[in-house]
Amino acid sequence: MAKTILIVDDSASLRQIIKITLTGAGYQVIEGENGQDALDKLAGQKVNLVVSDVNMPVMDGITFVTELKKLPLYKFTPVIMLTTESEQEIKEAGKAAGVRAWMVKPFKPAQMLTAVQKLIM
Amino acid sequence: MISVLAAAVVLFNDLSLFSWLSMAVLLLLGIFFSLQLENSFKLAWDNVQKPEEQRQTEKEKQAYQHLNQAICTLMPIWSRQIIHSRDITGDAITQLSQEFTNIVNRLTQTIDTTNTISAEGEQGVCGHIKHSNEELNLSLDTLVKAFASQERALEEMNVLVNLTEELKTMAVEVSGIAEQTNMLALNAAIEAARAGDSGRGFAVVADEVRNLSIRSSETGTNMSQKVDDINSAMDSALTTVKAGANTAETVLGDSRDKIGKVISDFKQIAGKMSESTKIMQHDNAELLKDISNVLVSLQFQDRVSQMLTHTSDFMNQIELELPGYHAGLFDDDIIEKWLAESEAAYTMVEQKQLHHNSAPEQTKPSGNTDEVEFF
Repeated sequence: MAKTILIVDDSASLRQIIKITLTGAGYQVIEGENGQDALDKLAGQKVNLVVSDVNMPVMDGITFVTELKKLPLYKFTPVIMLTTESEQEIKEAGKAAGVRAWMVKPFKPAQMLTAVQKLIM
Repeated sequence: MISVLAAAVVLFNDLSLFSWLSMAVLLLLGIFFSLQLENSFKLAWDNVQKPEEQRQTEKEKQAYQHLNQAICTLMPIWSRQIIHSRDITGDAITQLSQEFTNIVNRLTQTIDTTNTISAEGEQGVCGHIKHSNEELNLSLDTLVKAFASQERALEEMNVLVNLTEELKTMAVEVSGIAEQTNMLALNAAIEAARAGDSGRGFAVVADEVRNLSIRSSETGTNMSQKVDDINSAMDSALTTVKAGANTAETVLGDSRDKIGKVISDFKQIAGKMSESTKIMQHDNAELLKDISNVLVSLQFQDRVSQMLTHTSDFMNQIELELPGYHAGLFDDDIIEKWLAESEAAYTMVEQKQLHHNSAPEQTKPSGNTDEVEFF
C-alpha cells in the first residue's frame, strides 16, 4: 500500500512541483494551503510524513508543527521543513517544534526523495 | 551731538586735553552710531528678506505635502501592480506546473511500458524466440517421423510387390500342374478304355481328375490374372508413394530452411528491439534529468512571490504610517526604524543582500546532502 505524505505550502505551484516529485515515486499526497488548512484536511487520517513550508498565512509552519505534535496520532510523524528560510534561529525553532529535516528552496527532486525515504515510516 | 563736538574742536582749534577728550568721545560716538546704523540696516534688510524665506518655507511645506500625497496615492497603486504581477505569475506557473504534471504522467506511462518491455527485454524476446524455435522444431520432428513412417510403408509395399511376384510364380506353377494332371487324366482315360469293362470305373475317376485339372488350370489362370491386377495396383501405389516421399523430402528441406530464416529474422529484430530499448532507456534517463532541472527552475516563482509580497506589504505599511510622519508624530530615526523592520521581515539571504545594495548570490538548490539538515 502506498505511503501518504501531507504537503503544506501556500504556493499552489510549489505544491504541484512537490506533488509531481512524490507521486512519481509512488507516494500518495494530501495538500494543505496553510497550517490550519492542513490540520482540517488531516481530520484524523494517517499520514506517513509531512512536508511543510514555514512562512504561510493563517497559520505558519512552526505553529503548525507544534499543533500537529500535540495530536497523539501524529506525535511521531516525521516532518520536513521546505522553506526559503535558512537562518539558524528559525531552524532551532523548527527543531524545538519537532521538525526532523530542513530543506532550503529551491530543492532538487532527487534530494527530496532521498530525505523522504530516510525519514518515512 | 557729533556736530556740536566737532564745532568745539574747530573753535578751540588746539591740541588741548579737552580737544583730545572731545576727539575720543567723538570717535566713540561715531563707532556707536555706525554700529547702530548697521543694526538698523540689518534689521531693515531682514525685514525685506523674511517674507521671501517664509514663502520659501511655505513652498517647501507644500512640496512636501504634494510629495506625501503623491507617495500616499502612488504606494497603493504600485502595491496593487506588484500584487497583480505576483498573482498572474503565480497563476501562470501553477498552470504550467499542471500541464507539466500531465506531461510527466504521460512520460511516466511511456517509461513504464518501455521498462516492462525492457524487463522482458532480451531475456523475454529471446525466450519467446527460443520457445518458438523449440515448438517449430517439434513440428519438424513430427513431420520427419511422419515421413519416416511413409518410407517404412514404401518398404513394406516393396515387400508386398515381391510377395505378389512369388504368388504369380505359384499361380503359373498351379496352371502347369493342372495341365500335367489333365494330361495324366487323358492317359488314364485312354488306358481305362483299353481295359474295357474292367476299366470303366477307372475311366470315371480319370474323367473327374480331368475336370479337376481343368478347374485347377482355370483357378491358376485367375490367380495369375489377380496377381497381375494386384501388381498393377501396387506399382501405381508405389509410384504415388515415391512421388509423395520425394515431395515430403523437398517440403521438409524447405520447412527447415524457412524456419531457420524466420528464427534468424526474429533474432535480428529482437537485437534491433533491444538496441532501440537501450536508446529509449538512455533517452528516458536524460529526460528525467531535464524534468528534475525544470522542477528546480519552476520554483523561482515561490521566491519571487515572497519578495514581491514582502515589498507590497511594506509599501502598504508605509502608506498607512506616512500621514503620522507628516503630522510630526514620529521621531527623527523613523527611517532607520522602517529599514530595520523591513530587514527583520526578510526570509531569504538575497533579500538582505539586496537591502544592503550588494549583488545577491545565485541561489543554489538543496541538491547536496549537506544542504539538507537532519535533526
